[in-house]
Amino acid sequence: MEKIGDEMSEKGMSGYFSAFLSRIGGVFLAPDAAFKQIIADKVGVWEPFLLILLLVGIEGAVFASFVYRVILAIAESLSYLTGNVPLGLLGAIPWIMVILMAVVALIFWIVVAGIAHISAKYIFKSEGSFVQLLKLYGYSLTPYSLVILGTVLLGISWATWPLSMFFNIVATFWVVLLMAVAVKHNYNIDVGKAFISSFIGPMVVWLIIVGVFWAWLWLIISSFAGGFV
Amino acid sequence: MAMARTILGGAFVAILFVGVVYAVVSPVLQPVSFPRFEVPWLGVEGERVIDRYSLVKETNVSDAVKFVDLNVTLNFGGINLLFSNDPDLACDVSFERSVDVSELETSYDELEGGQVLQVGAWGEAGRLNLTLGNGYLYNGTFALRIGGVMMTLGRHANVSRFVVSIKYFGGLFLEINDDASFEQIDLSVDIGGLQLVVDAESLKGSGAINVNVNVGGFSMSVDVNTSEIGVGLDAVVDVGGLTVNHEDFQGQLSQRMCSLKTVGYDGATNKLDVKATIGLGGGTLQKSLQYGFPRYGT
Repeated sequence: MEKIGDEMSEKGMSGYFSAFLSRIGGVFLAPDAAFKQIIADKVGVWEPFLLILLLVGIEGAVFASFVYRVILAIAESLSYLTGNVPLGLLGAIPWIMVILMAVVALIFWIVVAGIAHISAKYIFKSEGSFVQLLKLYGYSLTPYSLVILGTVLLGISWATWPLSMFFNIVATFWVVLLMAVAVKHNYNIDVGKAFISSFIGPMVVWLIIVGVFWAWLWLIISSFAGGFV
Repeated sequence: MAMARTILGGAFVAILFVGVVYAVVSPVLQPVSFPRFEVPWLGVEGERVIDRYSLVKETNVSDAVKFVDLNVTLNFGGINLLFSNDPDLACDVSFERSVDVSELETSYDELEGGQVLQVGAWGEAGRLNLTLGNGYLYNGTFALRIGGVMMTLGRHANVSRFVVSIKYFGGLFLEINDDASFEQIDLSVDIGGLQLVVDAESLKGSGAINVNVNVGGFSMSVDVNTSEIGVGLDAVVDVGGLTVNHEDFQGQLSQRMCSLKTVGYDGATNKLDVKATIGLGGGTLQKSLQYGFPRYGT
């Protein structure tokens, strides 16, 4: 936060914005150098926090606008039976979606960074700050802008679905790669261990959670059938 | 390199900006449309006609008639029932429907030495308004498959027994007002809501109301002079809960069962006993209704 304050006081808002653009562009072009610079600049956690909120919020808004259009279309289609009934609570669905997506993204951010931190620090016995990793993980999400672009294209025309899918796949691989680079720089470990911490670790935890959920569901269902089936 | 990073950062911000603009303007500029859902035999829109039938003493009802048995069946739509201050009127029916829908089938017959007038009405889809007089004692069965039923029992109501049922889903609203007279009313809704409003200073006699809702809610509002009308409520909910917010009631209350009576129930001039069974859903008891079904004119 200190560095941002300095930048803002020295160069004003435009200077800060220019530095922000440079950081974002750096994450795309040369993530190694960009992450090193972010660590050296001691950028505050608020910037990546707002970045995630913006990315997920805008993706949520684009998606919610589509849902809103579908709700309007259904209401119009059924107006024969229902009359011109105001949307009421249905109109709030897009807003609820945006808020839910933002909340889930923030929880995901903290959980995934937490798993990577535990893995890097306690399994690979390396040193690094969790808050620092949170910041780098925030910037690692910048390729998610391609998902927004893909969703907008899909909204404009269904015919663009191959391009939209391509953007989604590229964004996913890119985010995973950037997360591995972020762990590598934050804990000074090799990229293999960083990949295990940033991707394999969370995947294993995810699989365990899914496994426990299915086992629990299996127990519930089998209990209705009078015991183990 | 620095310039390239800034340009890429700018492209990133531009994508976000495009996303925001698209989210805002797309509902206006790019509306989605689905085919209009229309049910030909329902005919909500288009030309409408009203079928009218009246049974009036000395016109088409003999002087000997004392009781009226009503049997009303409607597949879709609404039934609205009220009583008027007309001793000669046995039954007035108006049925508003689309021209595409078949007209209301009606029948009437005088039975048991001319003392009982039996009236039948069968409709497919539309709005059925029933107006009854105050010179006869009424029994009635009202069956609706999908839609709403509204009944108002006031000082002109003289009911022996009404059975009102919504077979599939819909809403049922019953209002009891001053000096209503009824012995038993059975109300049932398969899926939907049921509202009972008792807003009366006095009743002509004691009565019972049985309520059954399989899936949905039951709301009861009671605003009575407790020395004149003793109101009892026995309710059971299988899955769900009961909420009681009424100072005039006392008795036993748990999450899914209640047995409540108004203060001074035993000494009240007349009694109104309500038994409610709710499957999946909830029940509420309060003094006044915070919300209600939209009402339509007769």
